Amino acid sequence: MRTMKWWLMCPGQGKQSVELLSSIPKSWKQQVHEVTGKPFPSQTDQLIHSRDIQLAIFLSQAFAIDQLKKAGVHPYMVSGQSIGTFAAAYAAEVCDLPTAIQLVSTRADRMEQLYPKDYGMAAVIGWPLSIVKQAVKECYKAQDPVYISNHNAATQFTLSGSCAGIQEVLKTLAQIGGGHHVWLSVPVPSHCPLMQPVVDCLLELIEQMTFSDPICPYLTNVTGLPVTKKEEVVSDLMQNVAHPVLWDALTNVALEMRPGGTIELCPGSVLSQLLKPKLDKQMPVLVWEELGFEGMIYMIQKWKERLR
Amino acid sequence: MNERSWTTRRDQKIRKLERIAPYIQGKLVATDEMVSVLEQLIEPGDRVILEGDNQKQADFLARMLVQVDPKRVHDLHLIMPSVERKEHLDLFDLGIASQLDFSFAGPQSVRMSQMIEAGRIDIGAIHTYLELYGRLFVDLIPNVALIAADQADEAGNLYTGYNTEDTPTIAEATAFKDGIVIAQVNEIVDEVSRVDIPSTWVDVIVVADEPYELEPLFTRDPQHITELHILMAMMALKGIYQKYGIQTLNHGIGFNTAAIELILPTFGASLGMKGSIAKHWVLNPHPTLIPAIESGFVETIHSFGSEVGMEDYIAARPDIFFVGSDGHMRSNRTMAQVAGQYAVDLFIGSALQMDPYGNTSTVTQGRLTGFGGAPNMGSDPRGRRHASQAWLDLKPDHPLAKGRKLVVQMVETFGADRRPVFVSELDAVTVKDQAHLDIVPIMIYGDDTTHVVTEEGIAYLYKTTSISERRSALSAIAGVTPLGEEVDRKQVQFLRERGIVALPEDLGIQRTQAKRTLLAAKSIEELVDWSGGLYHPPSQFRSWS
Repeated sequence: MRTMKWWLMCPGQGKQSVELLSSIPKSWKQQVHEVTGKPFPSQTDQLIHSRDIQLAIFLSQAFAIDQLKKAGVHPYMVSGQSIGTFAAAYAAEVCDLPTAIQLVSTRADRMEQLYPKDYGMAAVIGWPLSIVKQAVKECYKAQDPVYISNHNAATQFTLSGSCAGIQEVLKTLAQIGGGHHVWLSVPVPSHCPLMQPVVDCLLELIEQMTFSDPICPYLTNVTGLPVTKKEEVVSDLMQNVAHPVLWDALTNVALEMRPGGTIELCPGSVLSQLLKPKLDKQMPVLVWEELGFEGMIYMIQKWKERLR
Repeated sequence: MNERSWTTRRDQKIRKLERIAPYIQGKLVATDEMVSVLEQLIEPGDRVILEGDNQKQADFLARMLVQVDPKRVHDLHLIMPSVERKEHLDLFDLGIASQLDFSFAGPQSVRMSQMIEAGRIDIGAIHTYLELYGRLFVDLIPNVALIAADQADEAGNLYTGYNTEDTPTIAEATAFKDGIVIAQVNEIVDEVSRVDIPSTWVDVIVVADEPYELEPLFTRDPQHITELHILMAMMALKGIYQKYGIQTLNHGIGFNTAAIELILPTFGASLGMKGSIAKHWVLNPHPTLIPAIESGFVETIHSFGSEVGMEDYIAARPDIFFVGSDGHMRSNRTMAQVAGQYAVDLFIGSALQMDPYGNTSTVTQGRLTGFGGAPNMGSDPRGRRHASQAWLDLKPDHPLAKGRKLVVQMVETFGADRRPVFVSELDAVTVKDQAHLDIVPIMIYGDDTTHVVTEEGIAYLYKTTSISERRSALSAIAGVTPLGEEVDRKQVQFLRERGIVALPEDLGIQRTQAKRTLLAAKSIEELVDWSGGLYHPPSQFRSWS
């Protein structure tokens, strides 16, 4: 019998809400305290700090992955966007829970400390890469650095850097016209060279850690390509914070790997929305936030029966 | 003086086959021993041709090859007509293969492009099908061929089913130069339906764990044909097919040409085209051809491959298709490519981008699709000597002049992504540098293109006398794209008067005539009806049930 090939997608920061916290078991929250030496919020009104937000995203995704596996659903391939890469690596059994908690916690802490103010990110929508590239090149100044960070779709990119630098690029693009922008509620210039100190810090940390080869292909943020060796996955976990996430290429490559369907974990459904216009055949695009665990299992069963 | 050995390849083959003696009975190897057998038969650096045809894939052998130990089998030089499956590129990630010569990579075009940029794959060259087949007999002679067939008998005779495609060519190049031919088959039978590849060309047979995968790649659901497609189809039929009396032709695989096929029995018939045009085709058995066949337009079709679901229909129409004494079609990609290049008067296709000189490409930013066969068919074969009315119609006025093939491009001015198809520079120019290619990957060159059809009109490029005039002619039919704004009404009028540009009204076509009611079949279901129930659409096209 053929098995359904599920592509597991773990989104990054963006659409999180405090409800994430309620999906994380108490014992896991204690584990965070034990591993990192710092407590993790148990109340629903305390999701403010980057570290807490990122840990909440990771833990809710990791818990969902455990639930899926217990129900017999094993991914055909995995990918995560930014912080989502850690859950993707966890799903591929590259690292265990304490290791991932420590990496996520350290990464978030270090990111937050680096640029306390005047740095951030904005999304630009409607312009092709060549035009955005040119605008960034024209506006870049050493004292106001700005970079293209994420490639989300053919005409959807994010800018990262100093707010002043980003502002300049937005002005230039507005003069060209034909698109629009959105400032992201991210106070950190992620996925650009300004984050190199975070990479260095993580590289030091992993010297004491052990990893395993992934049980299924893992698609990297940095190249968009599937990899099957632990060194390559770990390298992506370390490096992606200082590199553009090539999500558009990653999605196209993933479709060439011919998955049977996709499962997007919480929070949100943005990865599914980016995916849908690219689909040329009918395929289930399942979103955890819409279905919940039981709805998800029901849909997975239904598609399994269709294969018979 | 040392005696030179003239049998090194044969000796190597004998050595390799001796190594697998413990695994083989006759020519048959057990399914679950295939990985070990490949490790014995393939040596580091071997030149291996892995059957990725455009349709049929040696997918079991590809899955076994990715499981060999890279410490034993590595740095293979892979040759593939068509890179279609993830395993094909996994081989490079695993270090089993390092060099690649190929022709088409549409279904893996993004990963291919990313891998080249990351330095994970070393490309020899990107070929057209014919030149790759040619090189199999010259300087890319394989040591090992991994091929797929439907059936084998005990002796090793192979039956390929309708999708014969590239298999005999690949097997021949390998077998007659002491390479090893390994065939995966769906089943072993007492007697094969017919012999497509004789047993003496085959060294190893293995029954695959599941039948090779075959997808209906070229089935176009008429429901997705738009009125714009129909308008362009009407213009092409009247302004090109009928004008030159096109008898022999090859069609592309898009909705544009599907629309032409589907209005032949309606619009074409009303203009008296039946029996005078579009009689002899080089084309896969597309389901959208059924109404034109049933209404007597089409007389013969030779095919590169087959199409899933068309088997019973083809078998019942041996006057039209190439059907063996066993009652099943035999396709042949090599001969169909030769026919498509030399024996047809018209090629009509589509592209994703066209520059102001008529050069087209299907390579866009981040996608390296390769060429396949279009450049063979979409060019004027300078070796052609036989004449036909259409060919002579394009003959320049010169004592030694010869005729010319019609190379037609059909494009809407804006693509599916709502960006102009007419661009000032092809993405292919940038891709050349990114992918370290020797030449810009142009699919059809502007100086080979004789006609361009858009929803605005037809440019008769072969009548232009200078590069700037070619640009103006394209501009006249480029709509509201930046290129389209280069010429004014007066210039367009001048081009129309000289017959270089024709708008729908010049051809006596009203835009409002272009209705879906002109389609002889408007859905897959109606195609089934036309076929008298002989066409069995695959499940993904059976939306009504």
